[in-house]
Amino acid sequence: MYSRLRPFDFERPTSIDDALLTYRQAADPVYLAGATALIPAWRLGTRRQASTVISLAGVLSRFVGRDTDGLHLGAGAPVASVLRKAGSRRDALGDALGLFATPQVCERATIGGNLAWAAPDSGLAPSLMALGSVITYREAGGVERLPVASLFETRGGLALPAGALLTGMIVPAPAPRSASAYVRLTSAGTDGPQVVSAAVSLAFDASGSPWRACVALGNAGPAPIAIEILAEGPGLREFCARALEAALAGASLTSDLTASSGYRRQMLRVVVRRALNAALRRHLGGGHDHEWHRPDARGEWANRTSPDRSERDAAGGPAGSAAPDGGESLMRGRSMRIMHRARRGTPD
Amino acid sequence: MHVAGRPTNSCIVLAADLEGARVTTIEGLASGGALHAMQQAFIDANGLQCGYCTPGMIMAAIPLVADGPSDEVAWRRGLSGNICRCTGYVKIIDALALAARGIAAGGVRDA
Repeated sequence: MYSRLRPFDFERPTSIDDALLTYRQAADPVYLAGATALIPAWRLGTRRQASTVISLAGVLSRFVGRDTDGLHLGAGAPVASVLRKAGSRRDALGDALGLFATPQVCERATIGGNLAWAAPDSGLAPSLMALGSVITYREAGGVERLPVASLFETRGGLALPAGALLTGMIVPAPAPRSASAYVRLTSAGTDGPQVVSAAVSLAFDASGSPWRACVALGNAGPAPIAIEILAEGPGLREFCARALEAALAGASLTSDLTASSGYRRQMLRVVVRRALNAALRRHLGGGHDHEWHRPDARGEWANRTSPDRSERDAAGGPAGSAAPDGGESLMRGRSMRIMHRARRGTPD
Repeated sequence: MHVAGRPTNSCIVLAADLEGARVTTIEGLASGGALHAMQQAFIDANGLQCGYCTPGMIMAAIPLVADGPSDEVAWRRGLSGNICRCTGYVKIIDALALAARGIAAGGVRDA
């Protein structure tokens, strides 16, 4: 079970530059943020213990603030602080914050640490991916930016240079006519191990038809993944069905002590469907039929037709795949292999 | 324990990482021989049996009550992560309610 930690060197830099320098000069270093995952993993022996621990306690910004661009988060912001200031959001991030962990863990866990840990079951990554969030990180060459959707290697781990330090993030302000939701399935209670999770963001054009979806998945592969779907066919029901099938096609499910791959596949279908329904419910409000997947659905959206491209352009919607809310940059990122469009129900 | 007044799991924190931080453990609650209001409420409401989980419960409960008026749902959520295999949690929630009433009435020392 738990084992004692081996002796290690402990460094406490006082600035980001100092932290970067310490990392370069140390033998077998690792950054320490909230440590809510790192220390238990070392004690359980599920990750190899490093020889030098570089504490970021006095280095990373704990800022949480909002302006017209969106929600700005310092990488050192505890999840509890973000929850207190942004937990009432009715979107995928608000959902994820409310489900993140127990209050004591939320007080210690940091936004940057959660992403840098690069766990496939990250409680925040799917929501941040679906919402088009962008991180900033520092390396010897200066400050860089990267969409969260491009932050993870498809085989697991971070797609950042060794020693780079994640310093902050911006969650874009919600685009007009958009909605999102996050759904997570755990075993053994609310705070139990995650089976699968899904965050969905939907964008609608001026005529009220959906034109884009981003579905981001947790525990559906070695790293969180995001998949973009653009509407080309008619109808909300077909669009949602294609989003669901694209998500299933993009997943790379495995078995572990929490769930078998077969069970995960079944549950992935459920959580993506629920996330789609929750996002639709937020967009449409109460009293509408959001159960698009039910054959007997009779809601006004069930048979609605999405406009073609020219209609979308005339209505003020996007042209082609150049999504105004950052979708284009997502497609250019390093996760392009897993971010793909679903066309006519056949993900390519 | 509390770090800067906020409840934190001590088992996931490196002591070296808390250099200069304000840390309070269950041993630091009583003052001048008088128990903290929450400690007394746990005794008065029979909110403990074996006592194994009690330090964590009390440390988690103090900011929940001190942060202002709340309800049982919020208290239960706030205590989550603290596992009790004796009381069934009913008496623990009773203790929080008792402490909250006492604090509101000014009859016991605040957190």
